[in-house]
Amino acid sequence: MTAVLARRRAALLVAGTIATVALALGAIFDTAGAANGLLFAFLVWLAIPIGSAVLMEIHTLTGGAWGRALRPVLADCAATVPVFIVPFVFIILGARTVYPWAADASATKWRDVSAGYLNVQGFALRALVIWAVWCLIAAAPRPRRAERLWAGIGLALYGITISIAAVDWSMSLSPKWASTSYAAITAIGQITAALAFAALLQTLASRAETEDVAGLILACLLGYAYLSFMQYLVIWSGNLPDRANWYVARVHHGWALIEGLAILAGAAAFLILLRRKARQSGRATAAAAVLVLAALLLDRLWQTVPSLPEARPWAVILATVALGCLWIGLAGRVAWPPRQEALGRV
Amino acid sequence: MSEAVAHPAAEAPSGATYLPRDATYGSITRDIAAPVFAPAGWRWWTAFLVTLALTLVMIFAILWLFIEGVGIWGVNADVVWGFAITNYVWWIGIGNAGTLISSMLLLTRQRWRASINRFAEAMTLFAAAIAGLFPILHLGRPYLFYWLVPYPNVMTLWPQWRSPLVWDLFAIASYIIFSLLFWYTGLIPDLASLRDRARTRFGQLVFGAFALGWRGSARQWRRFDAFYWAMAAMAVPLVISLHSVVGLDFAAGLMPGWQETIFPPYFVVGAMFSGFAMVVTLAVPIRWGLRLETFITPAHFDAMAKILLMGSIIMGASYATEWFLAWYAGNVAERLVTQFELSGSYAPLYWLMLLFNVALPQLFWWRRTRRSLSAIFAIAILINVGMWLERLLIILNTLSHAYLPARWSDYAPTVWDWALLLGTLGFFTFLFVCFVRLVPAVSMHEVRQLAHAQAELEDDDAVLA
Amino acid sequence: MPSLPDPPRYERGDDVGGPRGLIAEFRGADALLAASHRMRAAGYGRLEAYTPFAVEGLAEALGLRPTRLRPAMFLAGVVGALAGLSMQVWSAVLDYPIDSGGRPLASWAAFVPVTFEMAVLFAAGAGFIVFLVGAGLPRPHHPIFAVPGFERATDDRFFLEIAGTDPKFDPSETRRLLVALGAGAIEEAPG
Repeated sequence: MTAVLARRRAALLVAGTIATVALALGAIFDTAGAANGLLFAFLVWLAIPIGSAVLMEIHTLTGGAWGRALRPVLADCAATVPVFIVPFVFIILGARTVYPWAADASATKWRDVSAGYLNVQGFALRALVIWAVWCLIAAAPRPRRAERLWAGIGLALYGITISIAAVDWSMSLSPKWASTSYAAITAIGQITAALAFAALLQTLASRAETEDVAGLILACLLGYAYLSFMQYLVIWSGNLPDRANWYVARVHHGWALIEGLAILAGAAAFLILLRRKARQSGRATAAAAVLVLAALLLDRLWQTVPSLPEARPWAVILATVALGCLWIGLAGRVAWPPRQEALGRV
Repeated sequence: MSEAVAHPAAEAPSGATYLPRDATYGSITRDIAAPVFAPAGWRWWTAFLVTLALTLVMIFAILWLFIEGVGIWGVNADVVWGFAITNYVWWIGIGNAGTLISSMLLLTRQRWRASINRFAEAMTLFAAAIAGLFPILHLGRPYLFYWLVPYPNVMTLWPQWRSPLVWDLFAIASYIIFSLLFWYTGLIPDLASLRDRARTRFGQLVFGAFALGWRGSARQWRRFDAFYWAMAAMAVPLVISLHSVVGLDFAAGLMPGWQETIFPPYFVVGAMFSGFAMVVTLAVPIRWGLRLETFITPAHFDAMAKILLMGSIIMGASYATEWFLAWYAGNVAERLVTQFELSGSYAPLYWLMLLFNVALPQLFWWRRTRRSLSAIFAIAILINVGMWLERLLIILNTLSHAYLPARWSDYAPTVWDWALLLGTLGFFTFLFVCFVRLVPAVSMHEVRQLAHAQAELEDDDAVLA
Repeated sequence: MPSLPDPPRYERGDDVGGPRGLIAEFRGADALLAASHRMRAAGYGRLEAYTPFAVEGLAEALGLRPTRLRPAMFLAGVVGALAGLSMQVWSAVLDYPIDSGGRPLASWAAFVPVTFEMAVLFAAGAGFIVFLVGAGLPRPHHPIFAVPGFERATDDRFFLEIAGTDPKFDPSETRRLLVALGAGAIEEAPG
């Protein structure tokens, strides 16, 4: 898989550039639409690099065959975290067209929240901290001594920053809605995406390695489904207007169909991975990884776009293609085939 | 890295070993089985008598409750849940952790679990059984608890399937049966070892009957492995579902501070956290009382301390998330409850809880703390206290400060609340005291396997024989 | 060996049967594994081993067929889930429809917990039964227990049994081969 990507790098870069230019042209006519699309693409693709960094920290702490097998790809993905600052800058610039609270201070539930938290300055300031921490976790060189300690600190920092990032960057799209498990769902979604992506790219050497990786994908998938369902069940049971509205907006206009497809893809991956034979097979695991990524993409679409009234299909598609192609192409340039340094960190 | 990488089975963090180098298969069997066959010493008898006395306290507290009704407790018309549900959640949390720990460590191939899984699972069974009492006891009319069970009846009624209390019944019943099967299956090969070592006819008959005729044939082991691993794989979602249902007992309602989507997962993490703390709390005296220093080593405590540290961070993050989001998008009542938590009637307890659950475990960042048995033991006990307080405060803060200001009232426990709590603690310990003399407290066959894996590393299988 | 009553020397067994084979003692799991591989390579087909813990790779070395335990558990889990779900749907929608807070009669989200618990309960119960039946348990006494020294199979010794019915079996030849493979005591197997 890695080799295939390396060969297609030029094509990826060309496609990415064309999509970027098209998106930029579109932005001239419909800035809001382009910015909304870009936010979606950003949330989709960012999951993989930061999730990879977290997986590496986890592996440093716990060890295990899965991590040794995936480390080369994970290291390459994690190294590209800083790249995502570029689209993020555009999102901050277009914040007023994306986030309701940025344009209108009365969009939040409480006045003191607008004043003390949900405003563009605060948003930018917190983003600065988040990006500093993430660059530190993902891309900064580390002393080899006390590796586990650093990994532990890295994970704790990630836990704090993702709690802020999940609220700021996506939950606040519906400023009156809050769910206490939202950050946890976002975090496990990032980890799952990174894991599936790495499993897809890395050729796994042995059956034992494949089984380890596949088992972990299965666990992450179940964790994601579990958290998502519990959020739904609690809100369904309570049925309080401010909370249930979020779901109401997501069953109309065909959105239920999108989530239905996501559930189907996830269920198919689950059924594949349930069999031990399949978990030992590289091809079956790769197929499951594709399904998992598809499920996460559709679920992200379902979560985000209903809160982005300005988003236009062309912008969502162009931005996703642009960011994805450029990111994979550029990352491949730095990284694939695996660097020696990455292997050395095993 | 050469060998260690090739055998993740025996891979131990920071080069620690979980078994002494001179352990042999024979010495493993002998040392672990010894407490079952040796005559009980003064330590055991003391523990037995003290806990028996406390068990009588529990029985008396329950009997008096049945005679007099829930009025003997400190609960009132506003704070209706009090100690009973606190104890329920606390015990079920401990009761979840044993199975969760045992199966998660098995699935992630942390073979050091061999030393702790047996008594962790026993802990699970006892705690879950005790926990199951409380929902029944807290009913005004406990003799009608069977109305939760779906059965065709003359009233032609069915349970309310949308109620978490009905889910609770199914979850707890399934869980207790499941844990019993899981624990007993793991015990069968060890019961066979005991059967073959027993010197009295009575011992041979009893152990022989419970061992079901286990021979240790490759066919049996293959099925044992297939079943045991499948059970471990199912145990994780089962435990998560059970404690999520406990979380939903709160979250599915509308009370401020309870209608939280994080409750199900956070109750699961809390269960794991308090359960691990309880494993540590039990491991220290078991190790000392049964002279199992060889099998429960500082490396085990180090590993468990790290898990406690992780748990404390997640708990801290969850508390912070609740506070923040109550402010961010909560309604008036939710904001008020949060304020009440941090500065109301129970605020000193709340801050104490934060100290025990979040602040103190941060000491585990230092290796010195993780290596000091007394420090770990002390912190683990305080975490147990902190987690009990947490459950108490989840109930009290919300019920004392719910939507209607006219119904804001404080809660104070009575002597019967304390008697029941103390009594169940005593009963739990009593069951444990009996357990360690009846079956091996450590899984012998898995420790042999661990010894084998460790010897493989040194390429010297023969020393074990 | 404990003083249990003398077993009948011949008994219809799931593991053994026919003329007497041999049972050889080894001191380590690796030695047993190596011997199993060699015996299989030498053409022996009816082998059984007894070990004090689950030895990885032993079943493959002996050429045992995979078990049907997990598919059975999966099936039972599906049955349990269907039972749980249909119980809820039938009673809440058909037998006793009641409006509870305006929620739909078929509240599928609320039906998930019970459905799941039932699935796990059925799978675990079925798994336990299949495990017992497949492992030939309970069977409190078995002729193999009469082999001198066999009580150490649950302690620190590893045994390899060659059935007397094995086409390759020859008392003296097989014994010679076992000795060459490093076996300690070699006893006659019961049956």
